[in-house]
Amino acid sequence: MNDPVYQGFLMRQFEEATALARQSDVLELAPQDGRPPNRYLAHFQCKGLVRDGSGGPVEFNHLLVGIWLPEDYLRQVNPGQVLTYLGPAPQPWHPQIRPPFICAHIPPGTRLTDVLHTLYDLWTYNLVAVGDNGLNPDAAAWYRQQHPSRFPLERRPLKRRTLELSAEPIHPTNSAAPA
Amino acid sequence: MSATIHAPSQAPPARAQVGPAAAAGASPAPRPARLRDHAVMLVGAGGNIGSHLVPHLARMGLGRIVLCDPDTYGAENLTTQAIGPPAIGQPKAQVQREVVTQLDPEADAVAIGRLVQDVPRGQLRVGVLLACVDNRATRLYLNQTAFRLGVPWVDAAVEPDGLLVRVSVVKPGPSAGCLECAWSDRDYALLEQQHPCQHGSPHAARTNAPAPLGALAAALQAIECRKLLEAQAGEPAQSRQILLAASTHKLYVSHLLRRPECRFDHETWSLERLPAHQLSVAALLDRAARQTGSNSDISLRVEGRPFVRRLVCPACSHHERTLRLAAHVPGGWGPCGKCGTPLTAPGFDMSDRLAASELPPSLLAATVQQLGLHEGDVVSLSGPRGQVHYQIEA
Repeated sequence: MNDPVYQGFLMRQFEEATALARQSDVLELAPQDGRPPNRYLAHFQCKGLVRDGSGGPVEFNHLLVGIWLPEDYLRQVNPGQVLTYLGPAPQPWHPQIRPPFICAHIPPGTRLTDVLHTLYDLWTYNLVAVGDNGLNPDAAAWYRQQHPSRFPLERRPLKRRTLELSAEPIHPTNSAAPA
Repeated sequence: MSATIHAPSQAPPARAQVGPAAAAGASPAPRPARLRDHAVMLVGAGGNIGSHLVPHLARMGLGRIVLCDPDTYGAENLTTQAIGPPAIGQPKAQVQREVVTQLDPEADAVAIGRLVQDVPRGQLRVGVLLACVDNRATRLYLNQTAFRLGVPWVDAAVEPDGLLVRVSVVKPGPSAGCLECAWSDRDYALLEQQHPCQHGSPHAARTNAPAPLGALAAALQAIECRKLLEAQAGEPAQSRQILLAASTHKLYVSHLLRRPECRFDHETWSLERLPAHQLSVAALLDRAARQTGSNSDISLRVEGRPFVRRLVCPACSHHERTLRLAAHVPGGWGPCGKCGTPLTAPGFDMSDRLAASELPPSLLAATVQQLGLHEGDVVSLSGPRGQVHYQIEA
């Protein structure tokens, strides 16, 4: 496609998002076809909730999401098309997830890094819509009964925190030693 | 209901100027024959503005008036829209079609009871597009469509707070400003979105504007429409936004300037009408390849409608491979072959374009209709050396 604005946008998203993934302990990002790519697989290895065999929610450390940035992404967005829940758990437990859909508000032109942050916050229960009109009302009802101190589930940030220290060695002075 | 629109050069034949008045023995009111060659489309035909605009259009002596509105009248509409009690419970487009028919039996009045986004784009090739809608998303779509088809459009809106009326006239051209040229990031953030947890199309909040405000907007809109169709009617407010504050009796006219940072590309397409009865996908690709000078690197695109490659059952996770053009199909994608739950199309398995090289022989031999293209659809074929745009015809 010969849209330089869209192509430039995609290139910036590729650079920023891959930089974020390099600086993350919980995110692996796999760009798909295209130069620059408009499709990504995002694998989050952080705590979320899924439904186990007994029907109750249990912690689960994997979330795979497909992200597609279509050609008119800068002007209009269909969130149900931009984000696709790909597993690996067949029954995720979140008010805003019902495979293959993930419900999140994504204004047109939202940066890919912001989308990744939104997905991370959503999966770790740092971002929850508690109404009954979401994709999983049962999860919403369950969430409302939980103590807030339980959330978010994951304490690690999406982007690794770094601490920059500047240290200078202490040199001995040339003055005479005291008597 | 067929809603094929003729371009002005292919207008329906002129009809005898006989109406109910003549039938009753009285001299019929003369219809301005010079507008019989013209067609207009009114989107949001049954609302606060649209219902007041329809009679104005019917009195212009137009050849065809297409009325598009997906809604049905309710009792709450009686106080704000130009209808009577018999209209309650009736489809808005049909009610307004009857209004046109009664005022001008010679006009070809067509009612479309669907969202304009669900109407094949080629059917919006009219003389003027008139927007009386209540949401940004539809305005965005009409702005884009107007430019793609090279059709002028007149947008009207009202705001009861301050008794504001706004009418904008956009005529696509090389340096013309568009609706989005005036939009900021906030405007895009306020766009209505179809969330997967919502049922039906997203709606903006009702304005509950009083009927006279809608009538005022409709009158201004009708005047600008007439100017666009008939040079003698005056200079249209081309690339201008007229804002009338009825509460303070102030009038503001601002210019819509082309903004280089606008997110819209402002491209206008040259459309070639393509008879597609029994036309195979391979034949379509060959034609495009010859016209663009490309060989096998052709890709297909229908703007705004992605191609779907996989369908998934949300209940049992069963999935099926497919290759079809997405459409707003009332019946959806059909039931799951295993459990009967309606299938859904995951976004990650969609694509804007379909490369010729990835089409299996079975699909190349199929007709364009089997791919999902229907009469009125506009399909774009792109190659390394250029692109062509076809409007599919029966």
